[in-house]
Amino acid sequence: MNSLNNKSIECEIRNDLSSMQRRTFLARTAQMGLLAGFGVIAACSKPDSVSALPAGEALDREQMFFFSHLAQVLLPTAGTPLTPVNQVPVLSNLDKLMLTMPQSTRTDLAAAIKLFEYGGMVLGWHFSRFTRMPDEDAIQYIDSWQTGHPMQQGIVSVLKRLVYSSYWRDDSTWGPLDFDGPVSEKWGLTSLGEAPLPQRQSAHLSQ
Amino acid sequence: MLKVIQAKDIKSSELNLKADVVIVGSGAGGAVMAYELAAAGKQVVLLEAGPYVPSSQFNEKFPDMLETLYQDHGGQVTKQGDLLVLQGRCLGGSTVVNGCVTFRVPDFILEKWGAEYGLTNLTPETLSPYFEKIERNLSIHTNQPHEINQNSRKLEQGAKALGWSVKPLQRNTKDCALTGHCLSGCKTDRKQSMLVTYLPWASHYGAQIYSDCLVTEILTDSGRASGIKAQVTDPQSGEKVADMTVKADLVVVSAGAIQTPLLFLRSQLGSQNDSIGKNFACHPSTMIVAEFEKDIYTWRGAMLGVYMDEFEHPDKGGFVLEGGGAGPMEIGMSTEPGTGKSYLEFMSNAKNYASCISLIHDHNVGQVSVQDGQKQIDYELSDDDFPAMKLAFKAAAKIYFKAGAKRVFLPTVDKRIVESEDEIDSKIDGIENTPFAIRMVSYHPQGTMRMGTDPGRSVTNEYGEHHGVNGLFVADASLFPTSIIVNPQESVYAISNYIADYILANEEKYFTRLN
Repeated sequence: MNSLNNKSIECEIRNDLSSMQRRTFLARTAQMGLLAGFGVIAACSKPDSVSALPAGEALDREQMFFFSHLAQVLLPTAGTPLTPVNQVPVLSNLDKLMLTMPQSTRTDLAAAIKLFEYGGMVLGWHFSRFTRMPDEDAIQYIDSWQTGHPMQQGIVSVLKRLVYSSYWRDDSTWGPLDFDGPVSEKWGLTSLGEAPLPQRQSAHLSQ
Repeated sequence: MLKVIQAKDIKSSELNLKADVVIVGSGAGGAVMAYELAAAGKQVVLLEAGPYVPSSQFNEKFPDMLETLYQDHGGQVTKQGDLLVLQGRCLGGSTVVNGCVTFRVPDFILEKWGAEYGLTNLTPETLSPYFEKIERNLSIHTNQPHEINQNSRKLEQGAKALGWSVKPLQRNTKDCALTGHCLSGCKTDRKQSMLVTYLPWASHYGAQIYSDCLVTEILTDSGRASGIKAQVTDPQSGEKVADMTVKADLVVVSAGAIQTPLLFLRSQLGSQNDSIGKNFACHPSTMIVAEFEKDIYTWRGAMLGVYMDEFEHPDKGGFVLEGGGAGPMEIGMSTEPGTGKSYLEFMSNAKNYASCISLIHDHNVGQVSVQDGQKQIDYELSDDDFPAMKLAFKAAAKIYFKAGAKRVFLPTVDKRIVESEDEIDSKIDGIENTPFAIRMVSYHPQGTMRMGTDPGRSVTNEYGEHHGVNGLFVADASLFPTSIIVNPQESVYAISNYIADYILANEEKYFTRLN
């Protein structure tokens, strides 16, 4: 990335994000650093076009298409022992997660997706939208944001976390990692219930 | 089963209650206060904004529980967007979802509070019986060998090899089942949270406990607290169920270091120095991950086992490292291992990672405020605190390499992997204090309602009573004049009990109805 392009993307980002008063979506997915995805639906198989994917309840068709491509790039599970990404309801999980976020956050996220989608044209990545990049270029593009302007870093981190969390949230992804998941019922643990009432005791008040 | 009045139980659109004391918040501060005052014969009404979720409904799936038990469904963030602030928002508050770690507030912190804020009443000697009582009541004990998992053993091994102080943590658990799911709430009630201790005990003595009640205003009359107004909301639909007014001689706000100042600000109860909501600190914490040859299974066993306190004192660095386990997803989000194949390779080795949590003694540089009617948490890691953060990373990396780690993954937004001991300084010195540079989470918000003897520099007096409104008390971590560097729950319990005793010792001043 040359300095002119760096400057250019910074200007783009600064201008476009200047209206974002509350960048809550950026840290909303810091939460994803602690969590992982939701329920069920569409697979992440790469669609031929935007029209191949239905809109979700929170995400529109373009956003679904965007995340579908992103999931393919971020989670190339083919040939690994991991659960194939197209067997996990990543998009559905993502859509449901979006529904828990306030509208303002979703609006901010939509703006961030657009920046990321079209940033490649500004940066000269074959003058391509992200969703049209071959996987290798897409990975390089993602990594360039990861080391770019702090705002680029914030956006790409959030997008990654959204996808990761929507994948790992699914129970079917845990087995290959030897992750146990919920255990109390499996182990037959019983509740200890409420603790017995203590004897009344007064700590000495020296005041 | 705990008797709780929930939104679904309320049939009237308007509720008018009377009590001796109304308490806002059911976490560490509010629950202890409710029990102590109710047991002394006071009529207590306790209001919790969050829902009542019995432990039988905890499913040990962290994403689900974040959305159910945490403030803003787990999405409470700073204005800057790069720090998540996790707090419980359920009956029992953060005590339900914390990692069970307990510490007494360090003596050097109390000395500082005495010297700089006039809190000479809060000496180790004064507080010691309160800590002892809390420790008895909540089964606080030093982790036994079986409560220290392989993850913590790595921290212990490396620290000992370096000659650094490392100790078992203390936790408020009874017969811990070692599930590792503390942050999702303890399904089998081994964690001695308020949900299974002080709240049922308060109820036993007649305290009325309401969930789903968001207090919207503190009422005052001629310079005295006189009650609160609240709104009861159905937690499922979000629809308002009823307006509530509670008239009381005494109001105690224990809603935590973020919600407490917001309530004061919305009630237009300022302080002489306009400092409500200011001086916010939060122990911004990170997770440092190290890869080992052998399997660690960091998520198995007690979530937190040991801590390294060699550099706890600010003169030595001002940070601690706690051997904290995590699920594979959390590990994967704590660092940047690369994109695509390299990420999947990293995740495939999840069982080989050890992890620890860094806590720093951050300065009170943040602020909680109301902007356009909305909550705003303004916090940036200060340049003064950044060196402590980097020292914590270096110490963790040294420990892990000493314990035989193959590599260490730093908690940065860019890919930063330390492959050998020789690389520690260069890799860590290169981190800059820019937005999003470090992956941080706060579990310990503190300091927005500073306690002190000087009304020009604090919001409440040395007993937690508002300088300008009689009978209006605060009892939570917002009172702390500085961050305390260690997990705060035990200190909140003890100080709340201390304030309760002060209130009871001066009851003729506060209560019109004396027993």
